[in-house]
Amino acid sequence: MKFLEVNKLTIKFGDKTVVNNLSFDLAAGDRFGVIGESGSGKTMIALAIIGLLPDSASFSGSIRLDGEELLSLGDKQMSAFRGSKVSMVFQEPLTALNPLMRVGKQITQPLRNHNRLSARERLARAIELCASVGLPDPEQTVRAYPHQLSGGQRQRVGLAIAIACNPKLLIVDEPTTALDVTVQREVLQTINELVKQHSTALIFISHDLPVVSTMVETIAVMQSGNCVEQASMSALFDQPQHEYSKRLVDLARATQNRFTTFTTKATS
Amino acid sequence: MNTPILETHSLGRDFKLPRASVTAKQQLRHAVVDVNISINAGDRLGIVGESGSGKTTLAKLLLRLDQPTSGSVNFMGQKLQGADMADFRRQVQIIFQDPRSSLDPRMAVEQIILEPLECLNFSQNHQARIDEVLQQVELDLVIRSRYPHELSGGQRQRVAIARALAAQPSVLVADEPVSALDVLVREEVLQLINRLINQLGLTLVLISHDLSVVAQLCDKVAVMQHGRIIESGATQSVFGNPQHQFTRELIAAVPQLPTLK
Repeated sequence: MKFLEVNKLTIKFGDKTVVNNLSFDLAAGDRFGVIGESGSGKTMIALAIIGLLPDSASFSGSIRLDGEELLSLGDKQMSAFRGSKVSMVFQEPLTALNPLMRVGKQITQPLRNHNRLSARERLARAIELCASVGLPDPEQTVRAYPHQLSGGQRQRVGLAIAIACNPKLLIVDEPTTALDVTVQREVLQTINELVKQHSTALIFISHDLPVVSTMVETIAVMQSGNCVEQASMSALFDQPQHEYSKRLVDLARATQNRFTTFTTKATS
Repeated sequence: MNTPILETHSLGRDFKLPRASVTAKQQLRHAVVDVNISINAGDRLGIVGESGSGKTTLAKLLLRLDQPTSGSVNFMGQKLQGADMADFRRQVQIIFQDPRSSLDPRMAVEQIILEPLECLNFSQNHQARIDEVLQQVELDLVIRSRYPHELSGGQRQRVAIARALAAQPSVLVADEPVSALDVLVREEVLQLINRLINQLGLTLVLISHDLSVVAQLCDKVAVMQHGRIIESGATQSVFGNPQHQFTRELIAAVPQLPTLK
């Protein structure tokens, strides 16, 4: 049995369909990408899986995680899932983190909800998590407030919160769009290492094909709510089936070529 | 030798940081330190660096939207002073990063583009000029009466470009002009900027953290780190044969497609 099965998921706001009849499944440790322009429904898929769709949304279809149907769960039952089985790293860490709470406390919040640990054990775990996501000086960092950290460090805190309870599925929604290129590369590396280490399944949402291509094995291309293509990364690059995927692939190639003509000339 | 259109002499900008306590010493943040650049007419200069490296502060100094704490900016060989500012303002225009915040939400497109024409006493017929720049940025004229929220991201940025071009500037400063746009739209807008620069013979100063954007549009690059320009030269030689460790890191950080490795 697959670990995550999304079957004919449709999400609507009033008459407006934002996700139309989407199906995909993941085994444990699979890495899956979702790409599309803004407004194509990427984030809604993530919110549906993690049970955070706004009340104004109506949905149909099914999302089964570890055999349990998520869409019919009540708030309380979903809370038990969220954090422990599935968790999410949001796009903008400055809005996702609480500005008034030390990051250590924010990191241990899922632990309070899901595990019975003493305060001392939680602190030790927070320090351990900070170290595992590559935050410098973990003992000090847990006492910092979000505004005292850099953008990359904040996103690492977001990542530490998400993995605090060893979720089986990690959803990351454009985790690096707010970050510098050099920091982006480091954060992506950290995510890559963590999911491999714990064989966590990964759903990586982005509008940037070159970034996604370094992170996942299979990918869904979304255009205005429809999944126009699902393919392995190599198949997408070799033979994009849909017009829109083809444009994305061509552009990514052209951009890369433009850049490599500069960078390789000197070495040759 | 021609006079550079824009030139800086050991330009510096310090910001005062909030005091840690009443008696504490005033701390300064050196946002731009000892920057000497000269931009000739027709140059396409890209300024790259991480956020916080001083790129935008430098752009603001070049535009005289901010005053340097040391050094100076010369425009056409002249130090900028009160009386010449009108001409400078007309000649040097900017496109900001996010058109949602740089366009007034309560103005229709035609008002947005009219504003610089009126403020800068543009000599030709204003309404005809609005039509002309809208055509230059490839927007349909029906858009004149629309408001920014009714437009797509790409259309909004085109309006911002049209506003910048309205008074026929000679220098265009673009601060991350495409980073708020979707990838495919980004490509269209980049090609548009490229065409316009060629057609109108503009001088471009492009600020970006995205090296592939700079590779596409610029023939010269300056790399900034901690407020200083650590490396500059032709795009070809800076990207092809980077001298500074930080430049090499920036280049290595550009994501590589798996099939092209």
